[in-house]
Amino acid sequence: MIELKRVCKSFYHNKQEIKVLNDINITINDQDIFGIIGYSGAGKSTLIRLINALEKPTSGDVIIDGHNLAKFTHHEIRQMKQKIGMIFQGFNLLESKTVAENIALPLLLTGVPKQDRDKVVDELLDFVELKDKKQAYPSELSGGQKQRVSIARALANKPKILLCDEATSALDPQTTRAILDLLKRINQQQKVTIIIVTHEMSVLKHICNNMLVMENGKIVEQGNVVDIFQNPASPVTRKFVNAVIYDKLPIRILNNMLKHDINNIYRLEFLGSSCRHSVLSDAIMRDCGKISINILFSNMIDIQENVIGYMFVNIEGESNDVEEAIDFLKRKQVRIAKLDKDGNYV
Amino acid sequence: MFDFNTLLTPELFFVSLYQTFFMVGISLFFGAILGTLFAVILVITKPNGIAEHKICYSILNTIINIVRSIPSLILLVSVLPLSYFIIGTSYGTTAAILPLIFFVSPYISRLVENSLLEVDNGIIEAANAMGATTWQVIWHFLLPEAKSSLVLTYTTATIGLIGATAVAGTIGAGGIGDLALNYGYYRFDHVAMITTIITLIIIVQIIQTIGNKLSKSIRNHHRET
Ligand SMILES: Nc1ncnc2c1ncn2[C@@H]1O[C@H](COP(=O)(O)OP(=O)(O)OP(=O)(O)O)[C@@H](O)[C@H]1O
Ligand SMILES: [Mg+2]
Repeated sequence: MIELKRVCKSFYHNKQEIKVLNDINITINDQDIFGIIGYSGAGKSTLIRLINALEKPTSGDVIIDGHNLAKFTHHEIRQMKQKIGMIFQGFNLLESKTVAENIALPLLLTGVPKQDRDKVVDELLDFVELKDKKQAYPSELSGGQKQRVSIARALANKPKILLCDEATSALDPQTTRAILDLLKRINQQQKVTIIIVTHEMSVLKHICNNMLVMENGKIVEQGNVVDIFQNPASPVTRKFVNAVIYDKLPIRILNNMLKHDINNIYRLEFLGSSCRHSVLSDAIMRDCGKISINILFSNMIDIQENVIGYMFVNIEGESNDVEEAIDFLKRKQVRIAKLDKDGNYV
Repeated sequence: MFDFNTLLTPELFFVSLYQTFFMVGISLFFGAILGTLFAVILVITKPNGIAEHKICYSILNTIINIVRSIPSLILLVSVLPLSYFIIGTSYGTTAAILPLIFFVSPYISRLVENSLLEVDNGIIEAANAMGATTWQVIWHFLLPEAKSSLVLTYTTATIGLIGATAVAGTIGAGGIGDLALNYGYYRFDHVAMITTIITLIIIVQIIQTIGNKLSKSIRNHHRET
């Protein structure tokens, strides 16, 4: 378990204090895949670097498995670092060494004999599916392959924690997906706790269980990924969620509707269980077709077996029939909002 | 007006050549060791370095700057008494070696420092994340990653050193520089002058070519295979 308690971090530039992290409290459970998202400069890298002691907190405690890092000697810090793997956006592989030599480096540092090193390297190459690149140099590899090598290197000492700082930010969507799948496999097969820093919500959506959102060195929101996607509380979080699933009717479709004088537009929010029921047809059927529901647009995504999404509909009929249908939908746990003249959903 | 009479004998030429190689070789060897050592100390003790140490950094940095700012001839003569103290003479090829080491070590340390600073910070970051000791960072990360750049650095240093031995020739160190000065210049021996100039050009060309090739092959050996 990783705990950060009242952690603050400042850098000093010409005696001037730059507060980078402010009162950070986090608990990350074993075998969790934990996402940290925020805009550039929010302090994400600084935060993740506290966990493997690349940075020291100015105040507050970083506690790993009950051990306060502040109480560790230099030697203990080094031993702890060997049990925490880290991968980076820029891969940080040694250009002067082959793939095999790169992966063997952490073992070399801990004094593992050559024979054992070779064995571990072969296993890891097998695991990341890069057996044929064993003697290649990093400059001969694609970005995705480089990241696989650096993942293999990070796993060499069988760490219990893997830190990923923008590990997929330099990769295309398909390669990103493959790397994320690999991380998931590491999490499941080797029981490794994974912490992912990113500025892409899609990364969190694919593999994280829990997440937090950072802004200006503060945590603005923290919790279960599905919950946060469904109920983004802060404006920053909403912006991030909107990048993956947009909660407004696209402006062109909206203008088109208004041109045709269609204005009974509602937004239905589907969360969790409501997706599994035939709520729309039920709403129409119960009134024996007194109303009509016309689907204008819909936006749905899946987050780890959960579907969440927005559907934009035009409901026509007598106003009290419409009201009744809306009440019915609300009872079925569909959150519903009407589009007002100003383009807001109320 | 061009005088082809010369005092230059093949024997004299080859002895001078040997003296130059001797001086360059020995002082390069010690200069490279010391210079690289200083450079590594500078890089790790610099502000935000992996073993930051303000006092150590400023002292070494200042000394190197001071020595580097003394013109080579003045540096060479000012160190000669030290040669006398150690080997009992301040004249000749052997006596010139100590001053040459004084000259070349700070020079090499600045060049090596630049090579080491070129190493991507991410590499050091990765080393730190792995829990590498300072020594391990230097040996397994910093130096291997700077290797091809270091080869060029030592090449430049060697060529600079050849120039310095020519200057040392003026204080009686022997070698090609001595030849050019004492025969070519003072005795108007054009053949001696031209021979030494051409010899120096050829030596420098050869060294630079080898250095470039070697550095390139280190940098590219993976792309060619
Ligand atoms: N060593 C340092 N000295 C001074 N300021 C620093 C240092 N490291 C980070 N900062 C500052 O701290 C702030 C947060 O930096 P950090 O790298 O943690 O942000 P980030 O969220 O990771 O951003 P990005 O998405 O761009 O990587 C930035 O304003 C940065 O300038
Ligand atoms: Mg960052």
